[in-house]
Amino acid sequence: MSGFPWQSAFEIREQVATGSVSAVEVTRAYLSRAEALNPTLSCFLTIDHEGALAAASQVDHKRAAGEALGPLAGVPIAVKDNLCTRGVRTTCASKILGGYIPPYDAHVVEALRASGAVLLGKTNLDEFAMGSSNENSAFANVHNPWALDRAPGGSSGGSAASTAAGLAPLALGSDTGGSVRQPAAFCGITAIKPTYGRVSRYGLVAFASSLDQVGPMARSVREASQLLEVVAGHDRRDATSAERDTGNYLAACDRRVKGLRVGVVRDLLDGLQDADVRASIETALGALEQEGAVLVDVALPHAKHAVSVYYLIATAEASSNLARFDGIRYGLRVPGKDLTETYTNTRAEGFGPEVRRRIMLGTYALSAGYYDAFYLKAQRVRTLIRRDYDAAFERCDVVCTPTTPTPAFALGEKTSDPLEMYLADIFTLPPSLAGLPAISTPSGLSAEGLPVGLQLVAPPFEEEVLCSVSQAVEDQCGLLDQHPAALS
Amino acid sequence: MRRCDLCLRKRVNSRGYEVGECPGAWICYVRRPMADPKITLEQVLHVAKLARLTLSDEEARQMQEQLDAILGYMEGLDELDVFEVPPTFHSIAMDAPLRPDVPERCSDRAETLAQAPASEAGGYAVPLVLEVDS
Repeated sequence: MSGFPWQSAFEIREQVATGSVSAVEVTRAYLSRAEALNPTLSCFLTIDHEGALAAASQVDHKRAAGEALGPLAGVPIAVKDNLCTRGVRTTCASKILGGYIPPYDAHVVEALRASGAVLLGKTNLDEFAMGSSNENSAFANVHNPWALDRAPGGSSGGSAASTAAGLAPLALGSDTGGSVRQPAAFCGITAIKPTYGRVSRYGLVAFASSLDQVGPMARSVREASQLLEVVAGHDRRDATSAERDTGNYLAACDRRVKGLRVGVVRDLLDGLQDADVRASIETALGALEQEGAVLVDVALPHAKHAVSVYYLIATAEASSNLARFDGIRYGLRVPGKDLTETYTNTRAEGFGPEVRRRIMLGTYALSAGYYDAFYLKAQRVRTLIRRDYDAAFERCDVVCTPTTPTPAFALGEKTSDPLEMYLADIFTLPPSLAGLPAISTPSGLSAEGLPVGLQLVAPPFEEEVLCSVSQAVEDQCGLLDQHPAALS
Repeated sequence: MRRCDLCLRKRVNSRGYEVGECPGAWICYVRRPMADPKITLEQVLHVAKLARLTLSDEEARQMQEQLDAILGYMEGLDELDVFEVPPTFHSIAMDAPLRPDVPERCSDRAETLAQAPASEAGGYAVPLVLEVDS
């Protein structure tokens, strides 16, 4: 098999389809790499050896029988462990769901199976997707493949790290306030947060229902775009799923950016403290200009309030969503002398510190006497943030910012101060609150050799323009020919 | 006047925050002194009760400190007059669609109950809720 482990999903499918290698051989190779590196990286919480080989062998049988193969036939993929997989343990990296085996597949998992993709296993995350460093996993810390003492980002840290480390060409994550984009930036890969409603949330364990989206992750923009085509689309089992045709995201990667208007949030970029991030974004913007894109200055005057708004709305929704974990229907039960004590014992034992903190904050924000001052006010400021984007999109086709204020920070660096961790999300939160599609793609390496991520945001359901512009960034400044030195 | 804990150069007022241009995080912030807490220990314990969580004394104290810092930062929203601004509960406009009312198979009972910590006679087994006098 040529190019292993860095060959693209397209190359793998091609090799499998022409028969130059079998899907089972591909799968075996990735499984052994995952099994060899997982003790170092902790990307996977579960490696589904048997299930993966069975799925691969099905692809080989289909090929042998001359049946049509799906767009991801034989392509290994890592799936975040908050997406339900029938018969395969789904933990959300929480003790409260430690042994949970879903009786059904998430919509996106069904779509993957139908496309011929081979699910290698379930990836590590911050417990219930709450965190920005993957250090809130109840089971293990994921390490950044580019520098093992650095955080991979979160909450989809396992998905990002597994893709960056060549354990799988593709991964799925989920993004509530930046959870595919921030780890993608830290790990030097591409991730798309689709428009709210673009991808079905059926079978995604709920964190904040007005924000959650499933997002594709891959080393290249083209692969991420192909994966988005596979998982996007209407699903009646999610009432917020949009009844709109899926775009041609892969084809959009080949569209030129000439004449496209790229909005630059100038005050933010000029104020950036990290010189490497600033320089990297400026270089990428210069490259886009060279390709014929037009840079225009835009402002997002209310985006600076996004941390406050997000951590009120998301925690309020989480406090309600996580009420279902009571020790009765699934997962952990720690019995008490009566029903109430069973609830409290189970939740005290089952939830980690960050999840408890967010449930507390959300419950407080929704409680009698505080609803107007916190929750409702946050929803009003959310309107102002949305309007900032409406105004920006009168002047431009995409808004460009860095994905994160700094490259990957060190493991342990921000764990003692939750607020400081929250502030690291400042650039990914505004588009999430506005429901907008966004992409993070590498724009280069810092002086220390750590990836820097560039974020682009588009109007609702305009994912195609994100694919076009980030493809141009990848062509000029991408990291496709560079791999984490520690692992190659 | 104190220095912002994030950009280290912007001076901020004694209330602990100032909405300003903080290079690095867009908004200046210093850790607030606990002399004037935004949330009391009693409130923390009350909220824990509402959320069906138990906290040890040490956990409650730490929770108060952390929530206080977060709520203090969130006071930054006070600079905005948003009384007239409508809230955005859903970012993308959508209707509540109705599906055809067609009977379907639901999940398999045995498979679903297999995930329960305790089940009995085809149902979830729970601790006694009502005491019955005999």
